[in-house]
Amino acid sequence: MNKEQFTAQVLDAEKSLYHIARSYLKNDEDCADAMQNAILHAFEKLHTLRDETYFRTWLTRILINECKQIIRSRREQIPYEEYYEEAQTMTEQREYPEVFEAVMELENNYRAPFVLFYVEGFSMKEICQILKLSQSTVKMRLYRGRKFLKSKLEGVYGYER
Amino acid sequence: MKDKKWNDAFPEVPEHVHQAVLSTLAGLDDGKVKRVRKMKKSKMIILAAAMAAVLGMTVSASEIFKWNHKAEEVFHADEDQQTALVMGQIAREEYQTVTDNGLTIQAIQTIQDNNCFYALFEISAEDKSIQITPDYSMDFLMDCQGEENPFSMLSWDFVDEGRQAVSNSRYFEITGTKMNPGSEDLNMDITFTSLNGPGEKAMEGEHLLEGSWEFEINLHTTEPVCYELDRECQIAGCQVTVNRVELTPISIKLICEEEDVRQLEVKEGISLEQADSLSALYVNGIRYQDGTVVEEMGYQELEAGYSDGKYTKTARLSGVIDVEKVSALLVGDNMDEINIR
Repeated sequence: MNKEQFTAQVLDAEKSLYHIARSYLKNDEDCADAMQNAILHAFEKLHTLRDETYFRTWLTRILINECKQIIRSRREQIPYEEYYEEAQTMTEQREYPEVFEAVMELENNYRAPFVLFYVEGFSMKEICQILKLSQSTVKMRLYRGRKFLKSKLEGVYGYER
Repeated sequence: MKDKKWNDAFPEVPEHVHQAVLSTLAGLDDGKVKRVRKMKKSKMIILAAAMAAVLGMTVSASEIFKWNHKAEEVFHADEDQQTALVMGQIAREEYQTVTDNGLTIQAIQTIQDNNCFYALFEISAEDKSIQITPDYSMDFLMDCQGEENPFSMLSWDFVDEGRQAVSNSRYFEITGTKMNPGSEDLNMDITFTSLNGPGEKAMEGEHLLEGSWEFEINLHTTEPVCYELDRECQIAGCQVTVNRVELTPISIKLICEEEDVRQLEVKEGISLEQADSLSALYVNGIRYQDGTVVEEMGYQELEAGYSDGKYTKTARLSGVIDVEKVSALLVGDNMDEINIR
């Protein structure tokens, strides 16, 4: 894969990368940082990608590592609660659909599998590879996520079951 | 549950995040990393369809970053230059469209650096009997969200008939000269308030369609490439000390010793205080390191004058240049060389 193909593939996946970063990080500035770092690391390590058909899965895995790295560094600098409050202040200017807000209320462990499966359309197998979790764990987290959202969203946007 | 359109409920990529991604991709070539952090709120109206059209296709970088053809005509940029300027955040596609009272205004492209600003809009009336000629005008307000007006000069107009046939839709351009650019980007609201028919005098046209069409435009700050020269150059037979040259792909800034430039004034019999123009320091060409000379065909002087013992001129170039490869500016009728290497 050359640089031009890499650029096109990254731009093709940009929206998905942003959604995934946003499911880990609470403000857009951190999302931009995570996406930038992921792109740089992916380009540096491009030679290690053996099969280009896995590019999106592979890049998503790198992105999630970057998101976790940012969360860790924030914890070292300021208490996580403060980061969360600061981030909420920075993002409160934007209005999101109720469905998005509900997904963001999911616990961290449930949110990532949910976003990957339902929002971004990754397969169960891909999610297991990305999150390094067993299939039964992913299924359990999806089930609990669904249950939570069902209770939150009943009646919203025609949500039924 | 998987059939539900969860993806639609998630937000579009904010413009400044998208720009950060472009910037990073731009840095991949040469190992440089360009990061953008922008803390100000963005209320860009991003058209989902337009965004999806760009992001949903696997196409080459040059296709993704291709400019609108009208902007291309103004800056004479080839495909590689268009890609480089988009990645360097000098050129941006805007993806903002507002419709009100039968008039649709689309912000199409902005191209800018520290010295100059160019914005391209398309104004389309639903009523096809409204044939927008170059004599029509738009009223609009500009607000830099509490910051001072960053422009020392601003002009706007519909494009002339030589560039576009008359119909119910016409391109509209705003160009500005920036003053005292800081290191921070600014956000500017442009609110169009009416489309006016032709009037006998400027500003007298009848308000054909009134409404509110609001756009948020980012005034991006680009770091120019600076050369501290303090070098004596032979220009039009005079010794002129050139202190500094700043280059971006679309403009130049030249700073010289005032007393030396005064000699040129005397020689040409002009007075810069009388708003005359000094032909000896017109940038009439660029020499690249490989010896290629690119002649300037009608660059625009943005500002020129004296301050603190220095003469400073800024000019927008008629075509995009490759800053990294420039070896000399060629000035005046004799194409005197100001070597910058």
